[in-house]
Amino acid sequence: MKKIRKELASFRKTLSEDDNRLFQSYLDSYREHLEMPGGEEKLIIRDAELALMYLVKSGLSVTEASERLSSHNLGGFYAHEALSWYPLDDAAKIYPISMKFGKMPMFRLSCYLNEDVVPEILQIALDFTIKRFPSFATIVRRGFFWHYLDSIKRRFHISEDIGVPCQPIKINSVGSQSFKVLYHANRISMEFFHVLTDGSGGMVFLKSLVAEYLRIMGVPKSTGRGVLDPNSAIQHLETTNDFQRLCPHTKKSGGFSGPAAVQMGGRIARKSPCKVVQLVYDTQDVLSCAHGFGVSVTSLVLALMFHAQMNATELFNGKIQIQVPVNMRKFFPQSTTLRNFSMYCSIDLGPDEITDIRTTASLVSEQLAKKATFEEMSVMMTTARRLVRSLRFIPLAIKSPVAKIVYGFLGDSRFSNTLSNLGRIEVPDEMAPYIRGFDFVLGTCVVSRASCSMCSFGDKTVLSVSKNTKDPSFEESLMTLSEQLGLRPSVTETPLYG
Amino acid sequence: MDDMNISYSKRKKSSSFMFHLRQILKWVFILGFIVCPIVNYYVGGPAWSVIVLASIIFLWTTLLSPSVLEITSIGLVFRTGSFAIILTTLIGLLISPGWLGFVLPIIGFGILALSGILFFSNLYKHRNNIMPLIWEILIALVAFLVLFFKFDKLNWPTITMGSLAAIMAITGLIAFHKEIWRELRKRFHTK
Repeated sequence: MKKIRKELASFRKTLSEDDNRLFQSYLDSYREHLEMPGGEEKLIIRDAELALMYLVKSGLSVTEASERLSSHNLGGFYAHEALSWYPLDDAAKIYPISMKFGKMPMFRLSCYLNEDVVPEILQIALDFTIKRFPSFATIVRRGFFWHYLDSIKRRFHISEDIGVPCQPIKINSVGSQSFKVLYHANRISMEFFHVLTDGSGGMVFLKSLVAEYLRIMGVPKSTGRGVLDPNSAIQHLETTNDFQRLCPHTKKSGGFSGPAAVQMGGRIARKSPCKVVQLVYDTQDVLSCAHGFGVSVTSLVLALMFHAQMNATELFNGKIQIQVPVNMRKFFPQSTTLRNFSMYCSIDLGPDEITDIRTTASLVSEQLAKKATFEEMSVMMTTARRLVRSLRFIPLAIKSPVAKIVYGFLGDSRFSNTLSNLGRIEVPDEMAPYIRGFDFVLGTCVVSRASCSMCSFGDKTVLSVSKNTKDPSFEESLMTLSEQLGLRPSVTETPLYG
Repeated sequence: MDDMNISYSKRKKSSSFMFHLRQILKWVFILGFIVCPIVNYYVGGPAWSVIVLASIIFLWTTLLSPSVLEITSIGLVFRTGSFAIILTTLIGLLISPGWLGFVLPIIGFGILALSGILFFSNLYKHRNNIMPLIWEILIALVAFLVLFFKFDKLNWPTITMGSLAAIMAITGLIAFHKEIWRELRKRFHTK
């Protein structure tokens, strides 16, 4: 802190009298937008000073820099009292109820830029962007019947990406933030507690943050294709529980339980994920291969996963069951929510059904076509809604221990693995030349030894495998199988944690 | 092909001391939970094992499986205070009776006073975290009213606890009625 103050003071000395006056008036107008406890205000002012210093040092005049960093971008976010709150959506309700110490459903979305990230600019971009995403500026709190998201007013901070990906966030103190913004080299990552949002909602936030970062760095302002203007008005429908709002209320209802799935071998590691392996494919190669088999990319990757899982499993006492989240927005295009709005289906194959990739891919494709339908998802959505409604007057003190046991026994062991595919990521044309790619990493489950996630941008498709065990047979099989299909992915691994 | 430059920084090796300590404590507590009632049953005498079991539950939920949500200073006072009341009551009932009516209200007004000080020491932070204080005041008022209608004469700790709770309730309703109403709506929502 002292070093920063010294640096800022010596920078101010290098400015002309006029520039110093401009600098001061900029800071004064900044202060007008802040109404927070002293420490927080000081931090936000320091963010502005550091960002302005960076821009001026990189060749901009003080006037140009202060225009880019105009205090109007703060809006009223830091001056208003935190009054809003949001009931959890139907999918999020289970997370805080069943969560145990040291375990938290997390996921990470990353954007890779052409240049190394400038932390000072990323911080101020976050200071400006957060106001547009009020349901993210919240903390989970315990109600008498249900948890809820309570809004908080603070400076949301960025940090250097030095830890294990998707680690639980400390959210138990008043005013902690429920997401992380991390930077490392040319990567900007956001890690979200799943209670806030799903992959699609999180991606809107990440893309909007990156767009704001690029705008401050001098790229023309861009919106659309999932990029929101941080200064535009907040839409109420972006924060709604669309499971409730758009529930189709089918007559048929289903259940969430099922037989336990076959699990891969390997001892569960102390730290989870103990490793993240990322396979970067050429999108065109993957598409050609999938189309060659007459299936979608998701079906092809699922087929690879079934085979890799077979090779990594010692004991077959049931079926391999892979959980596939289904984005409900594709069935309800009117939904604009940034909260959770996904359900899931289970693709199950017995060991005798897993013969060769082509056959497996078509079996998977058949199951996907049958299970990931509007009708099936509507039944699941209605069942979830009925369950939530029937439990609404039972105090959390009773619900929570029951859910912990039920979720521990049924929820996780039902699946051998997960594949969450965010699909093709699109950004506005102005942004595209500055972005190299995106990736998506899921946190691990309790019992399943791996969780897979993928997304593609431009000519790259990234498949991320979060490991819950040191045993490398699953990812090694994935690589071998990919190469056999002529896909030749480039592979990156994190160090082995724990 | 990977021109994305996916890379992860090397992480410093973290100490596994806390992990092992937690594992050892877990087994010590489990052993204590099973052995104490058995020993108590065969040795006879007062049911001291109930006090041990209550302490194990408190230590387990505090050290081994702490809440992942909302650990606030007032909440901690409320939680520790509640445990102190439970433990004191058990000791008073099972081992040495006769002093509970005097000691419990002292703990009660101690909790209220400490929470009140914490609340007013950082109003900005605690204004949106008023619920533990509401519970404390309500419990103290109910306890006071029960004792008031049950006994002809009240001792000074009970009177102090009741008065403090009443003062805090009135002050709260006058100064923070909006915050209290908002807090109750959030905490008791069924959506």
